[in-house]
Amino acid sequence: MSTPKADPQSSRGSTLDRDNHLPTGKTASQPPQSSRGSTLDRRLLREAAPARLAVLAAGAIGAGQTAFLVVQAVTLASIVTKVFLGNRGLLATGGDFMTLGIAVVGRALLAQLGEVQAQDGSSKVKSSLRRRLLGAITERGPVWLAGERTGQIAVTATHGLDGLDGYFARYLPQLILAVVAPAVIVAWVITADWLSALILCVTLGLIPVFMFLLGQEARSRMDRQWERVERLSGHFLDVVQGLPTLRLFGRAKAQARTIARITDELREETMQTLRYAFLSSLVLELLASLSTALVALVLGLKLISGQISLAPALAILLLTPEVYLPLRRASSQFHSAAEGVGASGRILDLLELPGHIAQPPLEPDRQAISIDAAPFPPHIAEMSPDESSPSRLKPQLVLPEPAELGRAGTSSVSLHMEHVSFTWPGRQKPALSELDLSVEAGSHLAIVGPSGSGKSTLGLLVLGFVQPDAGQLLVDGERLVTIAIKSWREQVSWLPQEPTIFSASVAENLRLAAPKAGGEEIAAALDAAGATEVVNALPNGLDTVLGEGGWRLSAGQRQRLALARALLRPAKLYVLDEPTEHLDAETEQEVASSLWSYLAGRTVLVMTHRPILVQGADCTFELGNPQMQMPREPADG
Amino acid sequence: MVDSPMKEPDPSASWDSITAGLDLNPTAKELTTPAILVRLTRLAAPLSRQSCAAVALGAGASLCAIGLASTSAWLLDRASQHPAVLSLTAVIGAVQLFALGRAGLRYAERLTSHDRAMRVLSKLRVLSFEALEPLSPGALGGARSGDLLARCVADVDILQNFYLRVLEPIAVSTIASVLAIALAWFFVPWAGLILAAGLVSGGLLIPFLASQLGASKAKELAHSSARLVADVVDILQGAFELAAWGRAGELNDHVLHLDAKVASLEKARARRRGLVEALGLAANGGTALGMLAVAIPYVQGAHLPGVDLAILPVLGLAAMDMVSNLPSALLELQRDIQAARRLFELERVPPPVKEPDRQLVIPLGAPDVSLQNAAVRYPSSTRQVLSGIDLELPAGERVAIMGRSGSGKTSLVHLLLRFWPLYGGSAYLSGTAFDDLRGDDIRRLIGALDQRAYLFSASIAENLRVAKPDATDEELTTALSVAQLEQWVGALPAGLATYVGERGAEVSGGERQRLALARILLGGFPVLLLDEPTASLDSATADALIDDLVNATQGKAVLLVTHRRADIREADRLMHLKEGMLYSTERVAQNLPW
Repeated sequence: MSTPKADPQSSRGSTLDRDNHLPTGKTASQPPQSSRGSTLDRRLLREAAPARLAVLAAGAIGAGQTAFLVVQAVTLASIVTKVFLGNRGLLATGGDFMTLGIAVVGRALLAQLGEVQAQDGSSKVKSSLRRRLLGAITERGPVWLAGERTGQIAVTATHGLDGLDGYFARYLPQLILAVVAPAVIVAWVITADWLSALILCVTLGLIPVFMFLLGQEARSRMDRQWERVERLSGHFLDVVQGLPTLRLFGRAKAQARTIARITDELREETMQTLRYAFLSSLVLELLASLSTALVALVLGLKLISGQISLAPALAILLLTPEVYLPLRRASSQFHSAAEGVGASGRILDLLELPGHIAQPPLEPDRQAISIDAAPFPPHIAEMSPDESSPSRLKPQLVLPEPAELGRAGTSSVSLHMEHVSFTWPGRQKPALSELDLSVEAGSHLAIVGPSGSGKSTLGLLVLGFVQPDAGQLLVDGERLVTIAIKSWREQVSWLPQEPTIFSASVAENLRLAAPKAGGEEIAAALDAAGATEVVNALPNGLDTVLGEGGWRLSAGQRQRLALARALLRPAKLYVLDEPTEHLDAETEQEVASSLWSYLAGRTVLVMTHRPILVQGADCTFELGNPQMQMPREPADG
Repeated sequence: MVDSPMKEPDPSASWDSITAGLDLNPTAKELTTPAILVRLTRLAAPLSRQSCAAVALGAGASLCAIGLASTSAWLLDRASQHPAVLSLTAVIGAVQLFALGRAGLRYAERLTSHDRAMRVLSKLRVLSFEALEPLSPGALGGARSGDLLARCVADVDILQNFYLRVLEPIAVSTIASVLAIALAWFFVPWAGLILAAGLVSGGLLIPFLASQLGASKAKELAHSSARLVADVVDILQGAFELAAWGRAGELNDHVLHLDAKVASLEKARARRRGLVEALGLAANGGTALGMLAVAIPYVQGAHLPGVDLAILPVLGLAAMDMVSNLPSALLELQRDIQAARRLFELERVPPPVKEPDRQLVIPLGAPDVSLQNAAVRYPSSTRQVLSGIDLELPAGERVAIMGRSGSGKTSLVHLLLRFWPLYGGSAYLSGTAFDDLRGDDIRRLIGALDQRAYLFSASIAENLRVAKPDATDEELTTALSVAQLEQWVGALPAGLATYVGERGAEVSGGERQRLALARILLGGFPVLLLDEPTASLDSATADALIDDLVNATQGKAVLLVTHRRADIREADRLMHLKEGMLYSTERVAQNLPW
């Protein structure tokens, strides 16, 4: 196992593939990765049963293939000997040819089986990791991954895990073969000629030593040149993206020469490192060649002195290169494995995270954060979205179904917060402290405050994604913790600060929040959110597919669609976090005026910093200043 | 939306959708595949000394491998006849030589071919840059231009390996194959024929079969995988909303269903791949077996010395090993042709702005800009984005233009910067028609500041010197102080040499815009176009920037395009852009939302 580890490229992911790749702007801009999980990843084997099975299967198939190889070599040697020394003809060697044919076909069939088996193992591992990740989100609630870069996680869980195909289909079988094949071959060679076996063992033993020494040297060289190579290879992309700027300053035409010069520098730097990087394969190849030559010499001398007969000698010679071949292939296929193993490692890292969060979710600038293994805070442990969670208080009340919009009946609830405090785990400063807030049924409250004052946290509390450290929320006088969370969320429509537009059609996006909505209701909600013109501008209207691979919307268009979706959901309480974010002034004006009339009679909590929205609310509440809840004078017409 | 990792262009995204906005010259004939191949091969300079050396080294290494196998097998055969040890000296020497030669030549070949490939990269980069230069930014498909550029850079990355992974392996395999066949023919003609058949099937037929097998299934797999990615992204990014709506379970089930479908498609793919691999192995073994079989009658008929017999199967196995990398080379070739086609097509896109045949010189003195009944149209649409535009921008005056997104503001700026031509009407710079001026001459006088200025992955000083390469440090500091950045730069440990991060990632939005302001000040433009300079800033930062912009641009003709009312305080004149038409303030006053 030590060979691939010593591969000088291993610490760099796929940056410098020893055989065929050159550094590119794309890969080189990735930061150097740690070489952790670079070889047979123990954690992957421990965590994923299908992975263990795949290793066993690959081992068995590899042993079988090598056995056929030995049969092939021995038979070939025996045919040559019989014809050459025994002067036999084709007919007399027919049986041997049959055996040879069987060995060839057997090897081929095992190769086919190995490929299918490897893919099977890979698919199962990928599925199981994906299933566990998605299951964990459902079980632990969305707050679990909040503060992580979910986009990156998603890509890791899909494209990244696809890299496991390379690991299971190419690297792992070769790696296992690199152990099994020499073992099987040397075991046979010992029975035929111990001296040849000794030569094979000694050269095999030398490989890790050389590779280690070379790998160290190459790695330290690459470390030294890394930053330079990275900058040089990123230069082209930089210049291409900055073309408009270069043209503005009349510098574009002169850039062609600079590009040629920088690429030339990149070439020189890269060749410097390659000279060392290729040394490891030089050594592997040299050891394989020289040991073949040495075995041939030794066997030749033994044949002259009659110490061995021709058939076993020829067979040994034929098998000698096969001892080194899997090792050479494994080390050249290393890069195809590193990505998938890295991805599976990251998923396993995530699954090992406790159900706590180190950062409030949905902050405007999400930063990658390191999760420290802080103890499990009790109040977070309770925040399962699952109503059957034993930690929730019983008996649970079930609220009546929300009335359809516009119909008579109880269509709104009152919401009261009493001395509510909440601090994000790992944070010193409380997000909310001693908060008292009342929204009467059917009234509209605007919550204002500077960014970071806890506006978004307030929304998460109301939705029951997090529980207050102290104090309580009352819905129509009932304590929120006593209400079944599922039935509570059915009464609430929420527009988060960064709403998600799903990769589906506009209609499907809208119906995710309101499955029963009809055409008229959709039209009304779109209208109120200023999104009618957005939909009209789309090539297929409501049936236009959005998102990755579909139509891309601008930030303002996305916001309006998401707002329409929130408005479409029949609910008794509307929690809208910055509903007019990303809208231009004119559109904001229109939305602000239609929003309030659309929601007339509903309880609405709007978090905003836009004066134009605040004007239309019944009351304003300034966060961080508890005395400031006050009714507004009627908005001036 | 996904953050950065999706920046890599999606290979399944159709090129047509990306180039939809490009005016791909419809009259020009489509590039034929042979023409692309010829051009691509020329780029790799296959006849240069270095290319020939790499191929020779590669072929030499392959022949050494064949030689090592053959001579060592012959050595054993000969030894079994108990000759004098001394008589074998030459053969033993040859075996050693081939052993050393194989490894040494391979190492030399690798270095030579990688160096060659990097030289091709240089040519490719310059070629694609020169193709993009006149098209940027006007003709690069608006909102999708990022995709197009990323695709283009990715294509260059693909093509840089054309020499390494396609041209050289094919050349080496061909040369070594011919020599191996000749050698086999020399011993037993039939063995030569069998080897030829084996090499053709292993190197050409089986890879061709592989590419044909289940091409439609492969598409289905690509489609299902893309769908799976999109759904997992949705579930993770929309986790809160799905939980709030009680729909998370449903979507999870959907993903697991899709996952099972992908797995079954993957299994089918593995069966196809396995088949191809099995056929390859069978071809290897079969060739050796066949060569041995046809040689036996020759030995019996005393046409071939028995001692030479072992050479044939061994030669067969070694030669078949040589073509083992041909399948991947051929696969790569298909990818390369697609990438090259995109790149070469880009070269044929006519630049949106035609440079004049006769070039007039702009009169000296403070320039003024005027548009009369100007119109702009994009080839992808029948509608005019701007029409009937009348605009006067005299020296020293500040004009503000307000308009909502999509009203044609950026088109107006591109028109004035000569990134895009007039469709109708006329434009004058100091009384000279735009059509009679070189774009570079116009841009020498008219500068612009974007809503999110581009910073290069370089130092502060290098970013500023884009505007004026020979600027002294004092000049830079002066410009920075006008842009109110002197203190900020002074507080940085590396000062002017501070690296701004990848595309300016390490500076804040406000600092970015101020650096860009310093840069255009350094450029000394008498006319400035400010295209929503505050769009990416919060309002306090935006207000401060506008104040400093006003102070820094005293005496210049300034056109400020914005949708922020607070930005226009200091304007001499206010105009409104609405659906491609420009109105002076009086005419739209009643519609003003403020």
